[in-house]
Amino acid sequence: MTKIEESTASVARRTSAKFVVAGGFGVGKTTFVGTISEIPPLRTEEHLTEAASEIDDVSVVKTKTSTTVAMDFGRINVGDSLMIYLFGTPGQLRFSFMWDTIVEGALGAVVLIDPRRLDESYGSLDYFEQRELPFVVVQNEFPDAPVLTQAELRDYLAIAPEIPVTTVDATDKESVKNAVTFLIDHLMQQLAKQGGRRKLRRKDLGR
Amino acid sequence: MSSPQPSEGGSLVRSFMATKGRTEATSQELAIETVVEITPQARTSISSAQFEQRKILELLDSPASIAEVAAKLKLPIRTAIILVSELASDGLVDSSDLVDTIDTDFLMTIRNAIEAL
Ligand SMILES: Nc1nc2c(ncn2[C@@H]2O[C@H](COP(=O)(O)OP(=O)(O)O)[C@@H](O)[C@H]2O)c(=O)[nH]1
Ligand SMILES: [Mg+2]
Repeated sequence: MTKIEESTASVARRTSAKFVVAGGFGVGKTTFVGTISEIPPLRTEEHLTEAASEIDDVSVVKTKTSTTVAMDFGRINVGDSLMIYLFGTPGQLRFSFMWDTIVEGALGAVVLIDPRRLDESYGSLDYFEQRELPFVVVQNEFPDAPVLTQAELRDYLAIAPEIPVTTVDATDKESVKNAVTFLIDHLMQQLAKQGGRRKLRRKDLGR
Repeated sequence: MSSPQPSEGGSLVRSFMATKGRTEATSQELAIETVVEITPQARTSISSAQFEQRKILELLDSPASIAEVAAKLKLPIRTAIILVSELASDGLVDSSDLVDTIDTDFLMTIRNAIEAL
């Protein structure tokens, strides 16, 4: 019997955990989340009215001080008591409160890369390096794009040797499952180095 | 937040009204992944709840996260958190515990579930 079942059996307490799917515009975040989700993927929209100074991407459509931030997410049920969420980060608005809301308490992140537009994902890599959220780098294999070798990808994106790198077809369920278990394997290796337990970061909650 | 103008779009006005302009959650802070569910006692009082709250209670007949409440009712996350917090402090909604510390067993449970999809 697992820990979760033990601790929830008597009162049927539910709990939840989340992964983050990041990367720039068009790298395949929404596709990735939708492919693995057990519910039809959902989207929230926030209307930011006074956050213009937080917006770091001039390409974002905005009128004066108003902009819309969309977040896609999916869900996977683990038994009756645990729900796993996958949250796709909104565009390049990585300094917005939405990013922090998504990342706080997350188990880890997949940073998706479009090999034709590597720069789209620079911001995500920087963000997770700074926030110390464990992540893996996953090159999305678009049918009409070249696939970079791992060495090329590491070189072009200056990815540290300890960060695992793999590829995915975001439209294929088995492939997306492999990418998520690839992340979990990385998280388990990290845990082993930290004595088998890790406290999730939620310091900004209650803002 | 400046006071909402009709020209700023319906949902902003609606969410402002739904929270009556309050900007702070009243009780325990809820995360986007916090799973919430209607309490047995709330089932009898749904019909007397206010519009926005009634919609949330109806939705939470089966457990769902704050993110799902926001997405399905087209509310900003912040508004969903405030409304659900109020329902929780009124005893109408139960919120799940957030995972604080992870261990290998926990990750293995998730890994097995992913593989079995
Ligand atoms: N063939 C193929 N198309 C993909 C893949 N990933 C994304 N796409 C397409 O690329 C476009 C952008 O993907 P989307 O998931 O919306 O990117 P997002 O902006 O990161 O959410 C869409 O038209 C997708 O259908 C993939 O792995 N294979
Ligand atoms: Mg998208």
